[in-house]
Amino acid sequence: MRDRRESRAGWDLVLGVVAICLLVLAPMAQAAGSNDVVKVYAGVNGVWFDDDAAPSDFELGVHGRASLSEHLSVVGSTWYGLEGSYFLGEVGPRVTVTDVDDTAFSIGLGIQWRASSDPTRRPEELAYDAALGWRPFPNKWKQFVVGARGLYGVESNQLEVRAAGRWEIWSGFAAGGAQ
Amino acid sequence: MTLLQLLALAAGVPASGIVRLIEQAKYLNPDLAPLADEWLGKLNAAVDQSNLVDVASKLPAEIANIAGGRLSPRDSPSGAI
Repeated sequence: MRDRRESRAGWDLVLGVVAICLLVLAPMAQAAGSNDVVKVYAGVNGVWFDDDAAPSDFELGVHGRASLSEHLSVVGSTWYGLEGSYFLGEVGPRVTVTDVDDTAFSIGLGIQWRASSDPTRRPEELAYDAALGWRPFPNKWKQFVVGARGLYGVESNQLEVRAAGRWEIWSGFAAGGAQ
Repeated sequence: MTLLQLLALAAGVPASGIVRLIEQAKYLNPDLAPLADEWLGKLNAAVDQSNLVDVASKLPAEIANIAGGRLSPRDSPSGAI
């Protein structure tokens, strides 16, 4: 019962943080230009909690990112685990540590706050985060991104690795700042 | 915690998990070896301490720009993951 209440509180916090980010970003952005701050992706993850070759679970969901500066972004996502029947939410800052003008390949590091409907496997906690993204067809299908991600729970000390596929479904809030 | 400490911690265990996944993919499909080696090289260079120090030194100015409403987005594919 207590876990369920904590999980509900966690979900409320994730939704609150996402809503605050949108409320803060919207007035700062201008509705013109091509350098969009916010992008939303539909995606699928293969998730590994252990060293098995086969994924522990597959997840379907939506991922969003707000690129605020050359290196700094805020990312957030919500996923549904097909095998374990759980919901998972994450939000946090991410720093690009490779060439920021390379739109085909990049690596980002950061920290994510996450909560799930299955706190035994995915407890509510902060997690250190590393993500690698690659556009295999940067000219023809720029919307398509594949990658890998590692998350390490600060309290649970649990490492989780994901292989990911994404398709951009929306972008907006073009920035007026210098490029 | 400083920005550099945060980056160094994120570059530790989580990045090593990605390395393990890429090496597993390389083992399961040897045709992917050239691409996997390229990724591993870029990953190792990205999480190198000197690179992290360089990136962390740029962040305070970028945070000041964000606070001033001056956004300068980039289209980094890792943001989609």
